[in-house]
Amino acid sequence: MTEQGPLFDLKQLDELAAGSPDFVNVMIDTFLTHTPEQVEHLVSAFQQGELKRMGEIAHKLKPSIDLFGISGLTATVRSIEQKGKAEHRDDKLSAEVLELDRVMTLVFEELHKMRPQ
Amino acid sequence: MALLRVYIIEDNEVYAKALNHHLSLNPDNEVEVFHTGKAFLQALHSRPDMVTLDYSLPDTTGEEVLKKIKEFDKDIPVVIVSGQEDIRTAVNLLREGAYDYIVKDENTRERLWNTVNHIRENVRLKDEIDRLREEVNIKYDFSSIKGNSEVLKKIFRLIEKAVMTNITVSIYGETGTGKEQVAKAIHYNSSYRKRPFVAVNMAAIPKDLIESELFGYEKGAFTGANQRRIGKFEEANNSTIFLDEIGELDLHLQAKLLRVLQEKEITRLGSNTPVKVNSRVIVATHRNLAEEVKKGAFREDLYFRLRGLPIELPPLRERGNDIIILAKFFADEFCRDNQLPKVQIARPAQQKMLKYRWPGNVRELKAVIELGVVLSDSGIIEEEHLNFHSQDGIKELIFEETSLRNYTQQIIKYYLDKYDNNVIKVAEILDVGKSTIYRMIKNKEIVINTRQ
Repeated sequence: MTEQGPLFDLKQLDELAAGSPDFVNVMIDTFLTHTPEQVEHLVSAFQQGELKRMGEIAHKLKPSIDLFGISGLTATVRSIEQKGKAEHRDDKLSAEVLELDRVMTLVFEELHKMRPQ
Repeated sequence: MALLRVYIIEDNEVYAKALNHHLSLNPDNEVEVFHTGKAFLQALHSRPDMVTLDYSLPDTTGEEVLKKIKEFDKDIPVVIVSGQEDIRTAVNLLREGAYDYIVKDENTRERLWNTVNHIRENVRLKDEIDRLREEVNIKYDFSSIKGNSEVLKKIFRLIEKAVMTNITVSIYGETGTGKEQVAKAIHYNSSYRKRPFVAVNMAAIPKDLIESELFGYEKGAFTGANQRRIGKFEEANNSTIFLDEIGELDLHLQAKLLRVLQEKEITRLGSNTPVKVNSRVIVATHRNLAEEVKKGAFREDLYFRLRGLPIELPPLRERGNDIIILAKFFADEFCRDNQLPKVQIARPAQQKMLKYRWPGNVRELKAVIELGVVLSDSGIIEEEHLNFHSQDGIKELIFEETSLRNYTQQIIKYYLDKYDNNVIKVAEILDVGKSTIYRMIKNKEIVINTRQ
C-alpha cells in the first residue's frame, strides 16, 4: 500500500481470466520475468541521456502498468513517454523516473509474495 | 467454417499473453503470437485469416509490416493495436489498408473482440462467395458445352488457346448458339476466374444509356445522376468484360470504345480524370462484322482491334448428332430439376429433330425438349411431342426476298462451308456441274471461307 491507494489492482486481469484459474498466475509470472528488465533499461536510458530510448521503453511499459492496475504510475509513465518522444528533459523528469522505479520495485516485491511457493 | 487463424504481433510479452488469452476464449479462434516483425514475416506464407499488429516493434515499424502483408495478400485484415494515440498515425495506417485501429486502453478487449467477430463474419462470407464461384466454375467448365462433333472439337481447341492469354476474343454465331456460354467458359477457366464476369448486352440497353452503363458517371453529370456510379469497364477491372451484340453499337460509341481499348483507360461521364482499366475483352455478335465494315456500319479500326481470336460458333443444324446429345442432356436436366423420372427420346423423334433447321439453335432445342418432357407419356418423347417454331420448311428456307441467283450462291456457299470447300462433293449433293461452282468462285460470286 502507498499513501495514494493500493499499489496495483488485478481486477482487469481477473475479468480477462474469464474463469480460467491459472491465467492470473501465468500473467504475474510473465510480468515478473520481463518487466523488471524493462524498468532497469528505462532508468539506465534516462541516466545515459538517451531520452528517445527511454520514451520508447515507457511506451512499451504502459500497457503492462495499465493491465496490472498500477494506477499510481498511469500518469507518470505517459509523462515519461511524451518527454522521451520529444527528447525534452525538464526538472520533473528525474523525479518521475525515480518514482516509476520505486513503485515498480514495490509492485515486484508484492507480486513475488503472491506467487505460489 | 474452419478456425479463424489470428496472428498477434506484439513485443510486450505481458500484453501479448493477455491478448492471446482473450482471443483464445473463443474456441473458433486459433491464435499465434510473434514478438518481432521478422519472426512474423517468416510465417506470413502460412496466410493467417487476420493479424493484430503493434505499431512499435523492436526490429521494424508497424507501417512496414502492414505494407509487407498487403503486398503478400491485400485481403488479409490487419488490426493495429497500439499504444500510439496519435491520430495522424492512425489515419495513415487506415489509408495504407489497415482494417481497424485500436488504442491500448481499458476498452481494447471489447473493441478487439467485436472487430474479430466482424472479420470472422467477413471471412465466412468470402468463403461462401469462393464456394459459389467454384460452383459456377464447375457449371461453366468446358463440359457444359455439350457435343462431340468435329466442328465443336475445333471450338474447344480455340477456347483452350483463348484461356492461356488475355487476348481479345470475338465470338460469332447465330442467335442461340451459345456465345455467352463460350465467353463464360473462357472467363471461368482463365486467370481472372475469381473475379466477376461482367456481361453487357448492347442490344438490350437503350442507346442513350450505353455510354453511362459502360463508362460510369459522376454525381451531377446529367439530370438524375444523384450519385457517382462506376461503369461496367471499371467493374470488370482485372477481369473479363463481355460485350454481347457488339454489332449493335452506334458509330459514335464505337469511336469511344476504340479509344478505351487503345488507351486502357476510361473517363466517367461528367469527369475529366481518366481511370486506368485492365479488362480482358470478349465480344460477340450474330452479325458478320466484316460485312458491317463494308457497309460502313462498323468502324474498320475497331473491327481489327476487336477481332483478336475469332471463334465462329456453328448453327445447331450443322452439328449433326450433337443435336441428340444436347436433347438428351436437356431432357435429363429438366427431369432432375423437376424431380421427374428420366425420359427417353424415341428414334422417330430423334430423326425429326435431325431434319429440322433450328433457327433458334440451342436455345430453341432446350425449349422444345422441355415441352416434349411435359407432353410425353410413359417416359418417352415421341415425334408428336416435339413442337417446332415453324413446321413450314420452305418458309424457313426463304427468309428474305432476294433473287434466285442470290439464293443459288447462298446455297452453294452453305454447302462449301459445311464440306470444307470440297467442290466435287457439293456438286454431287446439289446435282450441278462442278465447273458451275468453279466459275462462280472465279467470278467472285462466291467467296470461299479459307479459315481453318
